[in-house]
Amino acid sequence: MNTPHDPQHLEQLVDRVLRDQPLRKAPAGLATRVMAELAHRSSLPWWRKSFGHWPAAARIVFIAALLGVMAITLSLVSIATQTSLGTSAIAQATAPLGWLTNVLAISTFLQHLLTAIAQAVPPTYLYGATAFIIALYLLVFSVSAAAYRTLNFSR
Amino acid sequence: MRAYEDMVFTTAARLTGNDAQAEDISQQVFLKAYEHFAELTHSPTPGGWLKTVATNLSLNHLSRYRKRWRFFSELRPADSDDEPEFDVAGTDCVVENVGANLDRAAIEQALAQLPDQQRIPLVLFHFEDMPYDEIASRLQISLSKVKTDILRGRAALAKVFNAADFAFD
Repeated sequence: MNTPHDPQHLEQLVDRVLRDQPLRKAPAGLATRVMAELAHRSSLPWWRKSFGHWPAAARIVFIAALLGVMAITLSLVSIATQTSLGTSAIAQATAPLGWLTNVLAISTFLQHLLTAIAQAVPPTYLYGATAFIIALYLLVFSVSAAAYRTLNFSR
Repeated sequence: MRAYEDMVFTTAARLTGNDAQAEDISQQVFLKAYEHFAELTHSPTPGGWLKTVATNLSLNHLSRYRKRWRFFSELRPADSDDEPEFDVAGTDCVVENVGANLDRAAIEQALAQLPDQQRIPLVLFHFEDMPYDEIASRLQISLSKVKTDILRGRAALAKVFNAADFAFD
Protein backbone atom coordinates (compact mmCIF):
# COMPACT_ATOMS: atom_id res chain seq x y z
CA MET A 1 0.00 0.00 0.00
CA ASN A 2 2.65 2.39 1.03
CA THR A 3 4.56 2.46 -2.25
CA PRO A 4 6.01 5.40 -4.18
CA HIS A 5 3.13 4.95 -6.66
CA ASP A 6 0.62 5.61 -3.93
CA PRO A 7 -0.74 9.17 -4.09
CA GLN A 8 -1.04 9.26 -0.31
CA HIS A 9 2.60 8.39 0.09
CA LEU A 10 3.52 11.00 -2.49
CA GLU A 11 1.49 13.57 -0.57
CA GLN A 12 3.37 12.79 2.63
CA LEU A 13 6.75 13.00 0.91
CA VAL A 14 6.04 16.27 -0.87
CA ASP A 15 4.48 17.69 2.28
CA ARG A 16 7.59 16.84 4.27
CA VAL A 17 9.92 18.38 1.71
CA LEU A 18 7.88 21.55 1.33
CA ARG A 19 7.32 22.08 5.04
CA ASP A 20 11.04 21.79 5.63
CA GLN A 21 11.66 24.61 3.21
CA PRO A 22 13.11 27.67 4.95
CA LEU A 23 11.64 31.11 4.37
CA ARG A 24 12.99 32.94 1.37
CA LYS A 25 15.00 36.07 1.93
CA ALA A 26 13.04 39.21 1.12
CA PRO A 27 14.76 41.60 -1.31
CA ALA A 28 17.08 44.00 0.45
CA GLY A 29 15.26 47.00 -0.94
CA LEU A 30 11.79 46.00 0.30
CA ALA A 31 11.92 47.89 3.57
CA THR A 32 13.37 50.94 1.81
CA ARG A 33 10.59 50.82 -0.78
CA VAL A 34 7.91 50.63 1.89
CA MET A 35 9.44 53.50 3.86
CA ALA A 36 9.79 55.60 0.71
CA GLU A 37 6.15 55.00 -0.21
CA LEU A 38 5.04 55.88 3.33
CA ALA A 39 7.11 59.07 3.20
CA HIS A 40 5.65 59.93 -0.19
CA ARG A 41 2.10 59.37 1.04
CA SER A 42 2.61 61.41 4.18
CA SER A 43 4.11 64.26 2.17
CA LEU A 44 0.97 64.58 0.05
CA PRO A 45 -1.41 67.40 1.00
CA TRP A 46 -4.70 66.17 2.46
CA TRP A 47 -6.74 67.05 -0.62
CA ARG A 48 -4.63 64.73 -2.76
CA LYS A 49 -5.25 61.77 -0.48
CA SER A 50 -8.35 59.57 -0.65
CA PHE A 51 -11.55 60.98 0.84
CA GLY A 52 -11.22 58.75 3.90
CA HIS A 53 -8.02 60.54 4.90
CA TRP A 54 -9.47 64.05 4.69
CA PRO A 55 -9.92 65.96 7.96
CA ALA A 56 -13.46 65.58 9.37
CA ALA A 57 -14.22 69.30 8.95
CA ALA A 58 -13.13 69.22 5.29
CA ARG A 59 -15.31 66.19 4.65
CA ILE A 60 -18.38 67.89 6.19
CA VAL A 61 -17.79 71.09 4.21
CA PHE A 62 -17.30 69.11 1.01
CA ILE A 63 -20.51 67.13 1.43
CA ALA A 64 -22.47 70.30 2.31
CA ALA A 65 -21.05 72.10 -0.74
CA LEU A 66 -21.89 69.14 -2.95
CA LEU A 67 -25.50 69.06 -1.71
CA GLY A 68 -25.72 72.83 -2.22
CA VAL A 69 -24.51 72.61 -5.82
CA MET A 70 -26.97 69.81 -6.52
CA ALA A 71 -29.87 71.81 -5.06
CA ILE A 72 -28.96 74.95 -7.03
CA THR A 73 -28.57 72.96 -10.28
CA LEU A 74 -31.93 71.26 -9.85
CA SER A 75 -33.60 74.60 -9.05
CA LEU A 76 -32.09 76.29 -12.12
CA VAL A 77 -33.14 73.45 -14.42
CA SER A 78 -36.63 73.53 -12.99
CA ILE A 79 -36.93 77.30 -13.53
CA ALA A 80 -35.39 77.16 -17.01
CA THR A 81 -37.79 74.51 -18.30
CA GLN A 82 -40.82 76.46 -17.05
CA THR A 83 -40.09 79.87 -18.68
CA SER A 84 -39.65 80.99 -22.27
CA LEU A 85 -36.69 83.04 -21.11
CA GLY A 86 -35.26 79.81 -19.86
CA THR A 87 -35.79 78.07 -23.21
CA SER A 88 -33.83 80.72 -25.09
CA ALA A 89 -31.20 80.61 -22.39
CA ILE A 90 -30.87 76.85 -22.91
CA ALA A 91 -30.55 77.34 -26.68
CA GLN A 92 -27.86 79.92 -26.05
CA ALA A 93 -26.09 77.71 -23.58
CA THR A 94 -26.06 74.71 -25.94
CA ALA A 95 -24.84 76.76 -28.93
CA PRO A 96 -21.20 75.70 -28.37
CA LEU A 97 -22.36 72.11 -28.83
CA GLY A 98 -23.08 72.69 -32.52
CA TRP A 99 -20.49 70.06 -33.45
CA LEU A 100 -22.75 67.51 -31.85
CA THR A 101 -25.40 68.29 -34.47
CA ASN A 102 -22.80 67.70 -37.20
CA VAL A 103 -21.82 64.36 -35.68
CA LEU A 104 -25.46 63.33 -35.57
CA ALA A 105 -25.93 64.39 -39.23
CA ILE A 106 -22.90 62.37 -40.32
CA SER A 107 -24.05 59.28 -38.43
CA THR A 108 -27.52 59.60 -40.01
CA PHE A 109 -25.91 59.83 -43.46
CA LEU A 110 -23.82 56.74 -42.79
CA GLN A 111 -26.89 54.90 -41.61
CA HIS A 112 -28.74 55.78 -44.84
CA LEU A 113 -25.71 54.77 -46.88
CA LEU A 114 -25.46 51.36 -45.22
CA THR A 115 -29.19 50.80 -45.67
CA ALA A 116 -28.88 51.64 -49.38
CA ILE A 117 -25.92 49.25 -49.76
CA ALA A 118 -27.80 46.51 -47.93
CA GLN A 119 -30.73 46.94 -50.29
CA ALA A 120 -28.57 47.08 -53.43
CA VAL A 121 -26.26 44.11 -52.68
CA PRO A 122 -27.80 40.59 -52.83
CA PRO A 123 -28.27 39.06 -49.37
CA THR A 124 -26.10 36.07 -50.32
CA TYR A 125 -23.05 38.33 -50.65
CA LEU A 126 -23.79 39.96 -47.31
CA TYR A 127 -24.14 36.60 -45.59
CA GLY A 128 -20.94 35.44 -47.29
CA ALA A 129 -19.03 38.53 -46.17
CA THR A 130 -20.35 38.16 -42.62
CA ALA A 131 -19.37 34.48 -42.53
CA PHE A 132 -15.91 35.37 -43.89
CA ILE A 133 -15.37 37.99 -41.17
CA ILE A 134 -16.53 35.57 -38.47
CA ALA A 135 -14.25 32.84 -39.85
CA LEU A 136 -11.29 35.24 -39.83
CA TYR A 137 -12.08 36.26 -36.25
CA LEU A 138 -12.27 32.61 -35.14
CA LEU A 139 -9.02 31.84 -36.93
CA VAL A 140 -7.16 34.66 -35.19
CA PHE A 141 -8.76 33.70 -31.88
CA SER A 142 -7.80 30.04 -32.15
CA VAL A 143 -4.25 30.85 -33.28
CA SER A 144 -3.90 33.16 -30.26
CA ALA A 145 -5.27 30.48 -27.92
CA ALA A 146 -2.96 27.83 -29.38
CA ALA A 147 0.04 30.16 -29.11
CA TYR A 148 -0.79 31.03 -25.51
CA ARG A 149 -1.29 27.39 -24.53
CA THR A 150 1.91 26.33 -26.28
CA LEU A 151 3.97 29.06 -24.65
CA ASN A 152 2.33 28.82 -21.25
CA PHE A 153 2.30 25.06 -20.80
CA SER A 154 5.69 24.43 -22.28
CA ARG A 155 7.33 25.99 -19.22
CA MET B 1 8.72 44.91 9.71
CA ARG B 2 12.16 43.31 9.55
CA ALA B 3 10.88 40.41 11.62
CA TYR B 4 8.14 39.56 9.14
CA GLU B 5 9.40 40.64 5.74
CA ASP B 6 10.82 37.22 4.83
CA MET B 7 7.58 35.48 5.81
CA VAL B 8 5.42 37.95 3.84
CA PHE B 9 7.69 37.85 0.79
CA THR B 10 7.90 34.05 0.85
CA THR B 11 4.11 33.71 1.05
CA ALA B 12 3.61 36.01 -1.93
CA ALA B 13 6.51 34.55 -3.93
CA ARG B 14 5.31 30.97 -3.55
CA LEU B 15 1.78 31.84 -4.58
CA THR B 16 2.64 34.07 -7.52
CA GLY B 17 5.79 32.26 -8.64
CA ASN B 18 7.23 35.64 -9.51
CA ASP B 19 9.66 37.61 -7.34
CA ALA B 20 8.87 41.03 -8.78
CA GLN B 21 5.14 40.57 -8.22
CA ALA B 22 5.84 39.16 -4.77
CA GLU B 23 7.85 42.27 -3.88
CA ASP B 24 5.01 44.54 -5.00
CA ILE B 25 2.50 42.50 -3.00
CA SER B 26 4.78 42.55 0.06
CA GLN B 27 4.95 46.31 -0.20
CA GLN B 28 1.16 46.51 -0.28
CA VAL B 29 0.94 44.21 2.74
CA PHE B 30 3.20 46.45 4.82
CA LEU B 31 1.39 49.57 3.68
CA LYS B 32 -1.86 48.00 4.84
CA ALA B 33 -0.16 47.04 8.08
CA TYR B 34 0.82 50.67 8.54
CA GLU B 35 -2.81 51.72 8.03
CA HIS B 36 -3.86 49.21 10.73
CA PHE B 37 -0.90 49.96 12.96
CA ALA B 38 -2.99 50.73 16.04
CA GLU B 39 -4.86 47.43 16.03
CA LEU B 40 -1.77 45.43 15.05
CA THR B 41 0.30 46.68 17.98
CA HIS B 42 -2.31 45.22 20.33
CA SER B 43 -2.76 42.03 18.32
CA PRO B 44 -1.26 38.86 19.83
CA THR B 45 -0.66 37.45 16.33
CA PRO B 46 0.57 40.17 13.99
CA GLY B 47 2.38 37.51 11.97
CA GLY B 48 -0.87 35.67 11.32
CA TRP B 49 -2.54 38.92 10.23
CA LEU B 50 0.31 39.71 7.85
CA LYS B 51 0.31 36.19 6.41
CA THR B 52 -3.45 36.30 5.84
CA VAL B 53 -3.21 39.68 4.13
CA ALA B 54 -0.29 38.48 2.00
CA THR B 55 -2.27 35.39 0.95
CA ASN B 56 -5.40 37.40 0.18
CA LEU B 57 -3.56 40.05 -1.82
CA SER B 58 -1.67 37.39 -3.76
CA LEU B 59 -4.87 35.53 -4.58
CA ASN B 60 -6.57 38.78 -5.59
CA HIS B 61 -3.64 39.59 -7.85
CA LEU B 62 -3.70 36.12 -9.38
CA SER B 63 -7.45 36.09 -9.90
CA ARG B 64 -7.30 39.44 -11.68
CA TYR B 65 -4.64 38.04 -13.99
CA ARG B 66 -6.37 34.68 -14.33
CA LYS B 67 -9.68 36.19 -15.41
CA ARG B 68 -8.00 37.68 -18.44
CA TRP B 69 -6.60 34.33 -19.54
CA ARG B 70 -9.13 31.97 -18.06
CA PHE B 71 -10.64 31.06 -21.41
CA PHE B 72 -7.26 30.14 -22.83
CA SER B 73 -5.78 28.39 -19.84
CA GLU B 74 -8.77 26.32 -18.79
CA LEU B 75 -9.97 25.03 -22.11
CA ARG B 76 -9.38 21.42 -21.23
CA PRO B 77 -12.18 19.74 -19.24
CA ALA B 78 -10.19 19.03 -16.09
CA ASP B 79 -13.38 19.00 -14.01
CA SER B 80 -14.51 15.76 -15.54
CA ASP B 81 -11.94 13.48 -13.97
CA ASP B 82 -12.24 12.60 -10.35
CA GLU B 83 -9.48 10.08 -10.73
CA PRO B 84 -6.49 11.64 -12.49
CA GLU B 85 -5.20 9.59 -15.37
CA PHE B 86 -1.51 10.37 -14.94
CA ASP B 87 0.80 8.08 -13.06
CA VAL B 88 3.39 8.82 -10.47
CA ALA B 89 5.80 6.22 -11.79
CA GLY B 90 8.51 8.83 -12.25
CA THR B 91 8.70 9.23 -8.52
CA ASP B 92 10.24 5.81 -7.93
CA CYS B 93 13.38 7.16 -6.34
CA VAL B 94 11.43 9.44 -4.03
CA VAL B 95 11.53 7.20 -1.04
CA GLU B 96 12.58 7.57 2.53
CA ASN B 97 15.24 9.92 3.91
CA VAL B 98 13.79 12.83 2.03
CA GLY B 99 15.28 16.09 3.09
CA ALA B 100 18.81 14.99 3.75
CA ASN B 101 20.71 16.78 0.99
CA LEU B 102 18.08 18.81 -0.78
CA ASP B 103 18.92 21.90 -2.74
CA ARG B 104 16.38 24.26 -1.19
CA ALA B 105 16.75 26.92 -3.86
CA ALA B 106 16.14 24.35 -6.58
CA ILE B 107 12.95 23.23 -4.84
CA GLU B 108 11.70 26.82 -4.74
CA GLN B 109 12.56 27.15 -8.41
CA ALA B 110 10.75 23.93 -9.27
CA LEU B 111 7.73 25.16 -7.35
CA ALA B 112 7.78 28.49 -9.15
CA GLN B 113 7.97 26.75 -12.52
CA LEU B 114 4.80 24.75 -11.98
CA PRO B 115 1.82 26.04 -13.96
CA ASP B 116 -0.36 28.44 -11.95
CA GLN B 117 -3.27 26.01 -11.77
CA GLN B 118 -1.03 23.42 -10.05
CA ARG B 119 1.20 25.69 -7.97
CA ILE B 120 -1.49 27.83 -6.35
CA PRO B 121 -3.62 25.01 -4.85
CA LEU B 122 -0.44 23.10 -3.94
CA VAL B 123 0.95 26.07 -2.01
CA LEU B 124 -2.38 26.75 -0.33
CA PHE B 125 -2.61 23.11 0.74
CA HIS B 126 0.95 22.45 1.90
CA PHE B 127 2.07 25.87 3.13
CA GLU B 128 -1.15 27.56 4.18
CA ASP B 129 -2.87 24.45 5.60
CA MET B 130 -5.99 25.23 3.62
CA PRO B 131 -8.36 22.27 3.15
CA TYR B 132 -9.40 21.17 -0.32
CA ASP B 133 -12.94 22.57 -0.12
CA GLU B 134 -11.72 25.97 1.00
CA ILE B 135 -9.17 26.06 -1.83
CA ALA B 136 -11.94 25.19 -4.28
CA SER B 137 -14.09 27.95 -2.86
CA ARG B 138 -11.30 30.55 -2.91
CA LEU B 139 -10.21 29.71 -6.44
CA GLN B 140 -13.80 29.26 -7.66
CA ILE B 141 -13.08 25.87 -9.18
CA SER B 142 -14.49 22.44 -8.48
CA LEU B 143 -13.25 20.21 -5.68
CA SER B 144 -12.24 17.50 -8.13
CA LYS B 145 -10.16 19.98 -10.13
CA VAL B 146 -8.37 21.10 -6.96
CA LYS B 147 -7.52 17.50 -6.07
CA THR B 148 -6.43 16.70 -9.61
CA ASP B 149 -4.26 19.80 -9.92
CA ILE B 150 -2.61 19.25 -6.55
CA LEU B 151 -1.90 15.66 -7.41
CA ARG B 152 -0.44 16.67 -10.78
CA GLY B 153 1.64 19.34 -9.04
CA ARG B 154 3.03 16.83 -6.55
CA ALA B 155 3.89 14.40 -9.32
CA ALA B 156 5.55 17.16 -11.34
CA LEU B 157 7.55 18.28 -8.31
CA ALA B 158 8.63 14.74 -7.54
CA LYS B 159 9.80 14.28 -11.12
CA VAL B 160 11.77 17.51 -10.94
CA PHE B 161 13.38 16.35 -7.70
CA ASN B 162 14.19 13.07 -9.38
CA ALA B 163 15.61 14.71 -12.51
CA ALA B 164 17.74 17.03 -10.41
CA ASP B 165 19.27 13.93 -8.87
CA PHE B 166 18.47 14.83 -5.31
CA ALA B 167 19.76 12.46 -2.68
CA PHE B 168 16.43 10.88 -1.86
CA ASP B 169 17.73 7.45 -1.19
